[in-house]
Amino acid sequence: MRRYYFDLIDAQGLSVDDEGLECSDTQQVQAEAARALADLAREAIHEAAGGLEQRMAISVRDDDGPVMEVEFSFEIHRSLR
Amino acid sequence: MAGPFANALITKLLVTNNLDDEDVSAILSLPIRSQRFDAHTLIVREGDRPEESCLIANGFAFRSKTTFDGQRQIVSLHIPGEIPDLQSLHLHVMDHDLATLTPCFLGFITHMDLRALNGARPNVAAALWRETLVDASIFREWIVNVGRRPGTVRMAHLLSELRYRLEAIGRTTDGAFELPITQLELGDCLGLSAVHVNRVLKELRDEGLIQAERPSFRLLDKAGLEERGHFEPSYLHLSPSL
Repeated sequence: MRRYYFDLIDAQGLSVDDEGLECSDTQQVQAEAARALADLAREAIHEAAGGLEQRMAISVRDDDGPVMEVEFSFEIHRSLR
Repeated sequence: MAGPFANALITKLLVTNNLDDEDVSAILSLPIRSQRFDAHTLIVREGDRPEESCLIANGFAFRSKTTFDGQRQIVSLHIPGEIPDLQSLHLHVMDHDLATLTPCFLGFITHMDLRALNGARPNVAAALWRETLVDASIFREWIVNVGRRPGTVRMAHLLSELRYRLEAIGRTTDGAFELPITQLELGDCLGLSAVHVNRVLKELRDEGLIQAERPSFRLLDKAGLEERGHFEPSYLHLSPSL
């Protein structure tokens, strides 16, 4: 078990994780980051009523440095009429 | 019943109920077995058939259920003066877990003694019933909170609720209270990931509504936080007339 820190980058800027989460392996880290991003993205899109293009990322680090980055992007392409 | 237990229970019951002197005497003469628990320790487990209920004299406890794939949902938080498993007097098998959040000073009262008390003092029986009904009202509000409100609103709502509940029993100082809870645990209360909790707390801090250096929460703008949380306190029934 190691402690990993999940920093969030979104339209509001950077939210640094000062508490962290203990995970048993990088597979679990990936799952946590992906789930968290899915929740945050869902909420951002609901709040924006589908109007805004959203890009957000979670940057995961441990005591030794960066571990992974998980990114979400949401694009709308209207057909020309 | 020793001092800290009697004080905690009477203080809590009087928030929502009217008790006369004989009711209070009867409660004070209830036998109670005290025990100190460490933080994060199970008190009663789902599936258990307890023969006693526990009163919190000090500390915070929580009730939770865990899904088949290991995801925990905290369904309620409990404060001093509450008997979180009072329902086991009438519902014989536990349908959830009850555990300590922080170190707790707990007192265990047998169901036999509770039944005798209820028989002797119908007013106390009604008060205890009302406590479980308020419990249920809080669950309903949590369902709305988790089911419909955006993350920041959920957190603002929860913090406002805790402030009202703790203030009613004299455990806040000027809108500030101690609640030793991790981001993960807050997430389990609100159906949010720990990362989302972190972001939401930052947002409330940036808006000047709270100061959160866990374990302390200070509500800087109580009215503002209530508005942010779409919070309205009547569901807490913090008076005998509500």
